[in-house]
Amino acid sequence: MFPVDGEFMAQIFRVFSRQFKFFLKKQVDKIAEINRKYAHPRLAVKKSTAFALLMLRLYLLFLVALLIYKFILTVRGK
Amino acid sequence: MNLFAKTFYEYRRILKAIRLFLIISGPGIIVMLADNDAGGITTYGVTGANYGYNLIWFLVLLGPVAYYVQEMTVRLGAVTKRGHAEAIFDGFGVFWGWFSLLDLFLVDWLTLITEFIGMTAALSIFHVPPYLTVIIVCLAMGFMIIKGRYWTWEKAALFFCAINLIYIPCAFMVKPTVSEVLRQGFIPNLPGGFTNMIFFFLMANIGTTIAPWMVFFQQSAVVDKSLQEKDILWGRLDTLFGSFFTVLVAVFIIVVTGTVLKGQAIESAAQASKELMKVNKYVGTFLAIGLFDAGFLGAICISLASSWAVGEIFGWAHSLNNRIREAPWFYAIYFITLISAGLVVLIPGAPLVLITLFVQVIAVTLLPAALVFLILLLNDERIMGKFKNTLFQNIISTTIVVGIIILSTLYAISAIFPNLFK
Repeated sequence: MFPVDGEFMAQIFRVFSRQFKFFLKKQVDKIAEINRKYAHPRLAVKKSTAFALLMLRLYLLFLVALLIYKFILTVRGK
Repeated sequence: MNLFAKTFYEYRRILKAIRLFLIISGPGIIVMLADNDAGGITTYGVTGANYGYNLIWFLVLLGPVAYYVQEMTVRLGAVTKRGHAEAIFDGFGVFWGWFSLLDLFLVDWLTLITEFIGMTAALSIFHVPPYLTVIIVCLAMGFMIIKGRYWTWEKAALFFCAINLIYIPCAFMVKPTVSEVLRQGFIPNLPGGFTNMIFFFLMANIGTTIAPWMVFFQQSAVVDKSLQEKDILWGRLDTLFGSFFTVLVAVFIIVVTGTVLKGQAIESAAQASKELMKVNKYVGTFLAIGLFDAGFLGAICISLASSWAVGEIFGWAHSLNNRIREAPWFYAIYFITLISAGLVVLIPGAPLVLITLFVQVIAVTLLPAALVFLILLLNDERIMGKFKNTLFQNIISTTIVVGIIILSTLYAISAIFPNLFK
């Protein structure tokens, strides 16, 4: 019924990739808009507090990495 | 006014208050009981099997802790009319906003996997194959949110919360010795001392009582339900009831497994159900039904927490009161996370029980970061006005954050140096 040949498939692929690129561009623009909207935080956090928050995050991520390592060791040990 | 008139007036006043409470209640009870999700039931069941009644005191302490954390989200949601994700973006900027959002999304997805693990394990006891459980659950959850509005979803969730109480009769059916429960369970003790295992279980129990998704979920639910500042008192009562029931259920599960299965090598709630069925068919069956219910309840809340958070930030329509064509991306995120989590469970040979326990611990490890933002937002007088945190609330919440960080650190040290605490 439909000519399912290389040319047809290539056309389908072109249409989908164009749609996908358009979708991606829309999301990237959306993210940029969000970044502009929230560029100026409402709470005036002192530099020391911001630094402490960042250190806390990094420390907690380090603990999570340790947990994942322990998980892998436990799975391998079984 | 004569006595009859006064009594009638009081009766009408109390009835009105109860009706108002029943209308406003929901987010607090749902989030707390949903917190007794499949991972939670597994954690409590295994805790009871490993340590008997000895850690009940710790769970009782977690009740007020959960209340104080969740109560803050009620105030923040009712005053700002914004979800937690949006509040972080607005308060702290894009770096912390994206960090928190991606963090939430990942932990939510991992937790959703544990819900499916619990549900498939529970129904496999009744010989339902896992792939069928995943299909049924996805269809049921899809139907629940597509066909209804927030109110209908909430009433359905409260129905599943009521089933969550099925563990209470189980505890009476195993006939525990009350004096032993009181003596062993309510005097603080750490059986075996400071070991890697005990830290792991303490962390897993905290992680199953307070989780980051609960903070995001309850705040968004308060906003979706359109609670106002004048409703905060009822919201607090709702949260208090929820925290009471969540601890009650947890304690009763530990009593069940601690009475019948103590000392046995139990690794999951499903295994506990099967072993309990050998002792008492009804207790085992109730535990299996409760496990499925817990997983389902957790799944319907956690998937919503992610969708609400992403919808808030991207500015999509993100309410259960919107139809699919009005909020396509909100529902798309919901179904994508749901179905992908379900598919993970079907991977052959995946260490499902281990995943369940580790996800609880990962969630609690990341919890302090979410709590710190919550505390900072609640202390901003410009946003919160008269509803900002009092000194007492700040002391309690800071103690919770510091306590969790210390426990996480102790667990990490015991993982690297297992012989250090021997």
